Amino acid sequence: MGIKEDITVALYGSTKMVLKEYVDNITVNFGEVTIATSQTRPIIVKGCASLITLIGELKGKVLVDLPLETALKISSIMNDEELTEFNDTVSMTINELANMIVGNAINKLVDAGINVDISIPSFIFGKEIALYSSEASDILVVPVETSYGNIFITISIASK
Amino acid sequence: MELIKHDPENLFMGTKRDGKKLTCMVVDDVPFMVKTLSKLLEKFGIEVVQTAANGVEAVEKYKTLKGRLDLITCDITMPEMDGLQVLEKVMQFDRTQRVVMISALGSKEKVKTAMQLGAKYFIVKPFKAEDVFRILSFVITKF
Ligand SMILES: [Mg+2]
Repeated sequence: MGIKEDITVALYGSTKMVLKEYVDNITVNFGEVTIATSQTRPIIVKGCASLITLIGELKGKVLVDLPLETALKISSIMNDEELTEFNDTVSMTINELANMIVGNAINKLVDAGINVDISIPSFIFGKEIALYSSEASDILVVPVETSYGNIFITISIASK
Repeated sequence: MELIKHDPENLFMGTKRDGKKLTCMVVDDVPFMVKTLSKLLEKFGIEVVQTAANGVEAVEKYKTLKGRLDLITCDITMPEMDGLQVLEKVMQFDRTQRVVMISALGSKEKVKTAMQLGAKYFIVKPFKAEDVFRILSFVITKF
């Protein structure tokens, strides 16, 4: 298996584990992964997105993106308070969710001997925001279907 | 320190010899994480006497509390100053201070680095209540 498959599989496991730990009774299923290789194709943000940069042997980005409605529902449960509109609590919660998902996926890779670290998450709020990469990347979009709505995990790995 | 009560069945950490609760400062930049962990610690019978949302704040608050904290739980990924830097600063004041790192980044290498810097243990997020209890009990009784 290549490194792209390794990180994708690791992200499947960590996404399920983190969501199940913090969101009671959530169901988590994975939809069909779409793959594209392009220098020009941007990643499109759907709502509340946390962007984490992969540093080291594995260079790239992981975007954990939730439509606002889903972000509000999940953040409300995680904070044990009703959040009806976007605010700092929502952005911090989604950033931490992404940090745990990507962090736990990375742990497995590092223990397997791959030298990779992650950045502090950056938060992006808005619809149809296009993120362009300056280098050619392989882009994988993993739809995560949950009982609170879909989450989209985009993995962009720099192709050498 | 010796514990006079220890009842793992009820996940109660016990009190100090003088009958007082163990004290802790929780350091994490994310409010829900501070909330979750504080609730858990209170359940264990540990009093959360202080919280800090970043490394700089943590070190400042530590300076005013040092000597009076039985425990510090410290997140690693934080803005301003990260948890490992906080750990280093705390160790400069008191090598015996019990600091437990809590992070989503829990590769063997990260854990090793933290332990070498003086952390007494390492908890990977997300965590289970029983694991946190087991680790903190160990740290409290061993160090
Ligand atoms: Mg953090």
